[in-house]
Amino acid sequence: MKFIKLFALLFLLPSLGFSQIGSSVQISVSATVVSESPVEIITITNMVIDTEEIIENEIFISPLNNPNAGLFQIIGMPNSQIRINYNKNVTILSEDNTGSVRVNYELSYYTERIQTASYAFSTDEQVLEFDETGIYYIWVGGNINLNNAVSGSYSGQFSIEIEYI
Amino acid sequence: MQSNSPQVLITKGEDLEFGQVVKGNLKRPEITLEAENAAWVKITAPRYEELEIVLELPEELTLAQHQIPVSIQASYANSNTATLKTAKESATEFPSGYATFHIPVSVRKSINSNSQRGPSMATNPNATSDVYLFFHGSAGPASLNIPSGLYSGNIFISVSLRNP
Repeated sequence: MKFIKLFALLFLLPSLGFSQIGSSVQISVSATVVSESPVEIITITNMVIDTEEIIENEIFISPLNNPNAGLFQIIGMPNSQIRINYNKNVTILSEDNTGSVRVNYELSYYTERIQTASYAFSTDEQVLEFDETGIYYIWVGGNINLNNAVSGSYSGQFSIEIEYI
Repeated sequence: MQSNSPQVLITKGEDLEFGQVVKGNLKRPEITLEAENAAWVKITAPRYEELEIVLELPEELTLAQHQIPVSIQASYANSNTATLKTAKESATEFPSGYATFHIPVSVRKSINSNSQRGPSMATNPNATSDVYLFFHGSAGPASLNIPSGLYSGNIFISVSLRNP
């Protein structure tokens, strides 16, 4: 608007103030073409398994409210849609391969880092749309079955695949 | 060059800026008529006259020798409404395929006259009304093999009084 007022002052004196006198005008139409920028995935905290929470050989960590849930942040193009796939059921072997735990992952998401406001993923495949910030927080919890577990050290990875749609 | 027509004043509101178009992505950014960033101009002209409006709408936005398609709809509001928002609500779309249009400056009926043209004894012949023109639409898609950057085009609008 500032630009238009200046223009009017230069050309319209001694006529009226802020309008462009004349019978024609141009409207500029523009769009910025960009390359697709990849989605960044940043791990903030890993999931913690607290053996004191074991009930009948299972531990359940709710992604919606358990502070032991893992958390990562994804950053992508604002206002774009993404599809998220992940391995829901995973078996993790102990370090010496004598035992295993079965993990059934459950995820939740929210645009801000407020776990209790997050929404549960509905199926294995989740579609989300970024807002203007281009950021989502994703909590990782799940059900851990220890029926085949033996004492020892377990280390597993959670893998996730994100693509624009 | 521009012709000087003191009875018709044009004020430009917004340009039409679509923002980012991602190469290779089928999603085309859209601006609706109701959106705050829909483009508009305001034409102030004698209330009892008729306007001839010539529109030239681009079908592509260009950067050097590269293009992306653009689809633009034009509409007008001549109901003598109070605000931009109510003007949008009463807007009528211009039919596509034509470049020249004739519309009355105001369709509000004068209480004391049977005709919308010409002033009556009880109305002010120097009264003016505002006519709004709105432009909205969508841009893209952009193919993978064109350069990134700002693609642009222009909407050309000419307005004059249609003399009997």
